[in-house]
Formats: sequence, structure tokens, C-alpha cells
Amino acid sequence: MADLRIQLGTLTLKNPILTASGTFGYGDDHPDYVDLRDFGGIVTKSLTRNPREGNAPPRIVETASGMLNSIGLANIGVEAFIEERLPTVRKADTTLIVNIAGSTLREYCQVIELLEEEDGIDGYEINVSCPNVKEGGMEFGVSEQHMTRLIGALRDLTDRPIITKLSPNVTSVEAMAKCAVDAGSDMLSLINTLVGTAIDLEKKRPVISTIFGGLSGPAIKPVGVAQVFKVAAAVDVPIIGIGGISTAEDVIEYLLAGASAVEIGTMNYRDPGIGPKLIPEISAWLDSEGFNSPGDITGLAHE
Amino acid sequence: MTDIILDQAPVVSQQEIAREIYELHLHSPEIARRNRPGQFINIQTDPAGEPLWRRPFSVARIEEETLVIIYKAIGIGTRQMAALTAGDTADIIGPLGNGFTVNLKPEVTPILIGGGLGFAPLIILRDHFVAQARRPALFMGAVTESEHYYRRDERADLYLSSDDGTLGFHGFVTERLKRYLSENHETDEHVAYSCGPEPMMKKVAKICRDYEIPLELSIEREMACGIGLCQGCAITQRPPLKKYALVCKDGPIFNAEHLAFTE
Repeated sequence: MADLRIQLGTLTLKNPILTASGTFGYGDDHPDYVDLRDFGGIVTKSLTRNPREGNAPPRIVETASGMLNSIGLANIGVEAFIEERLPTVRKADTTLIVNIAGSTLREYCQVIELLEEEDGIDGYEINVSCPNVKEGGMEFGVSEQHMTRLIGALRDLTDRPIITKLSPNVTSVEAMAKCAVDAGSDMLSLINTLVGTAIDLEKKRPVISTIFGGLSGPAIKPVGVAQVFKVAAAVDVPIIGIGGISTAEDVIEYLLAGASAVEIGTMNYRDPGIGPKLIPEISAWLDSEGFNSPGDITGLAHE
Repeated sequence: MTDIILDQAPVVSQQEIAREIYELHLHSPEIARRNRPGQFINIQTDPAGEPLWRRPFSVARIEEETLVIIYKAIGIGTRQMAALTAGDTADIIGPLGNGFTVNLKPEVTPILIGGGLGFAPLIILRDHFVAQARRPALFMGAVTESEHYYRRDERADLYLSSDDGTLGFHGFVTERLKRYLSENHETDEHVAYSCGPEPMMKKVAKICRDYEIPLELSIEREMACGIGLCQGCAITQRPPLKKYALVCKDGPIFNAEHLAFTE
């Protein structure tokens, strides 16, 4: 039997499957029939300094093999998370990654400073690429200069692992990846959603209130695999692959492209227990191919 | 943490009860036991993955261990559902959402106003009140006779209407409601529940406000998850309430005076 444990920098995860931010609440919102112990790790919804109401409805629309969302970082704020959610979530026997977002560099710093006071957090994922916030969240993800300043500033505030979550909506994902790593990011996760729009034929207007939303779901998997492949060739840090995963084969594809682990997002809406259900199949595939662990196949497609 | 169940529910039966309107019976003892009037289930219509989202449906009735869903086959998901036959199974989660307020004073007459498929979630509420030995007043409106799927009720006062006059009162269900209240409200105390197209519910809310009748609405929204994870099914509330509520978790039942669209 293959050993499903994987190494992500200094973190050891019991398997390579995490939940993607914004698809699994804060780690205590899932139904009882899903057991957190079965995940390699969970990544929380993006937390900002203050609570955010989010964008006006409509916020979502179903598309071919995918969906568009424009939630607008609706969240309870970092302080409510620390008081109301973290005491429960930190007890779960899994790796806990807190995703943080902000409109300004100062806001990101404030969120991390508050979380640094708390035990039980294994790392931070930095949302530099949420396309649904007007005030500039996207800017950090598409400008090398802003990325360098942001990740550099956060690096000074914590010794915990920093995972920078990259946007696919850039000219060169490799350039942004190098920038984040040079500024001190321990790992990278990619991709976030792709910018998309759907138009209502009856109303002759965009379906979602902000016009543009983030495309996710099986439709985007080839884009995610391509960008992971490119970034794996460009940098030498662990990569978490994200984008359209719904099967064990999808997970294996991302690992072969260069990922050490994956996050599953949109498919949690269909079945929040899907991640752990893929584990036996991944294990069986590794056995049948003669590999001992997921780490053995990371990046094999490059050879 | 929740008491939501994931179930592979065997299809007991399915039949077309009006034009393109289907009644699906699913054997799910545990959800049937937990479900309260107004709650819903979320059905995965295709195990292969298209469409991506589950489809949410209010439970229309419970018959012992069986959930009854009434829906119209109009899109890809509902057409897949219409193809289900006895012996198939459906991947469902439930019960979801909050449910209606059902504890009423003994002297109150409940009035239930449904437009088209919006009448479905009111049937289980009707069953609840009838079991309490009440005699609710039911208002069922549809565009035309062929879309009526609830035509007889010996244990409730049923008022049918159709926009084109082919069955019952000729006109909107809201007009029939107005006439009823002008004849009965002086003597009776009422509590109202409604589900249907939002322009209809807005009119119902206005009428109930004029008569000072408390009203709960069952709201429908597209949902990616139905369990609060995606935050997609937001609905705008009136101040001083928080600006957006989630239909799947905070609803689908809302006090009409809490919502912005009924103003």
C-alpha cells in the first residue's frame, strides 16, 4: 500500500487533498457526514480585517461543466473567526491553512498579525487574486511590484508557511510565481478562478450583479494543469494544484504536472465529502504503477 | 455542524400530474423523519456530473418514509429527474433550511397562497395544520387549467383560480385572496404563508400588510450547494437586519417584512 502522506515544505499532510478556499466555509460549516480527519488539510474561506457583506445578488450562475461566482469575499472577519470558529476548527485532526485577503497591504498585515497571536494554525494562503473585489485585491496578483511588496511585508510578520495563491488572469504566471518566491513565499497554489461573464438573454443584461465573475469547475482543469506545469518548471518550491478537480485521475494529472498536493473546490458544492472519496483510488493507482507515495510522481510529466 | 443526511434514496414512483409537472416519490426514512414543513432537499440529478449543481426542491408531502417532490421539467436537471423510474436511486441531501413557523394559537385560521409550482411547499404545511384539526384556507392559482395539480381537498377550504378563467376564479390568485379577506377577516384571525413568483408574493405581502396579517414566504434561488458553503443564494433584507441573508440556510422561509423585494 502506498503511503499517502506528502511533504509540503515543513508541513507533513496525511494525504495530498485539501479543500479550496471559499468552498468549505471556515472548517466547521460542513455536514456531519463529512469527517475533517479524512482530508490532507483544509483551507478556510478568505478572511479580511473586518466582516464583509459581499456583493449584491445574483452572485452565481451555472455554466457548461462549471460555474461563475462573484461572492465578493463575504466573510465574518478575522476577529469573529478567532473568537467563534478557531477554537473548534483548531482541534480537528487535520492541517489548517487560513486564507487571508485584503483591499490594502495594511489590511493583509493586520489580519496576519491577529492570527499570529493564535495557536493551531499551520500556515497561511494569501489570496492575491480574488477578481471580485473592486478595491484592488486583484492588483496584488497581477503586478510584480505589488506582489513583491505584499509578500515581503507578510514574510516579515510570520515564521509560519506562506502559500501565495496565484491568479490565472495574467500574461506570465511564471513571472508572478518567481516574484512571490523571491519575496519569501514558501509555496504556491494555483489557479484561482478565471474571469468570465454570462449574459441573460431575456433581460439582455449580465446574469451576475458585478458583470464579471470567477469561472471554476471541471471546465477549467486543463488551464490549471497547464499553469501548474509552467510554474513547476520555473520555480523550486512546492506547488498546490487547483482547478476543476473532480476525480482521482484529475488529482494524479496535477501531481504529474508538478503539484505536491491539490485543493478541491467547486465539486465540494456537489459533495463536500468528495475529497476523501478519491483517496483509495489514488492509492490503488500508485500501487498498480509501482509508486510508493504521491511525492514519487510529482513533476514526472516533465521528464 | 448540522443534522443533514446524505442518502441514496430509491425511487418509489413517479407520475406526470399536470402538463410537464411531475410528482416524484423517494424512499428516505431518515430525512422523512427529520423534515419539517418548509424544508427542502437537494438532488444530484446526474451522477456523471452535468449539470454540476444539485437541484433544490421543497418537500411537498411526507407519506410515512417517503418524500414527495413536485416539480416542472423545464431544464436539463429537471428533465433528467423526469426520466427516473421506480427502482432507480437519487443521491439526495436533506433536510435543508429553516422551515415554516407552525405553532399557532388555536383560534387562528392559516391561509396558504400558492402560485403554480409555488403551491407545492404549502401542501406539507396544509397536512400539518389538518393534523392539528384546523381547517386552513388554500389559494391555488395557475396560468391555466392544465397547470393545476391540486384540485380537491375535503379537509380544507380550497379556492382555485386561473389567469385565463379555464378553472375556478378568473384572475390572479391575489384577487381571490382579497375577496376572501374582505368577506372573512372581520370575524376571523389569520396567519398567512405564500410561495410563488416574486411579483405574486409581493402582492400577497401588500395585501397581508393592509390586513395586518403575519406572512411567511418560501423563497427560491439558484444554489450551488444548498448548505451554506458557496454563499451564492444571497437575498437582500431590510435594515436593520444584516444586508444579505442566505436562502439555503437563513431561509428558505422568511418573514415577508424582513425582505427588501416586498417593500
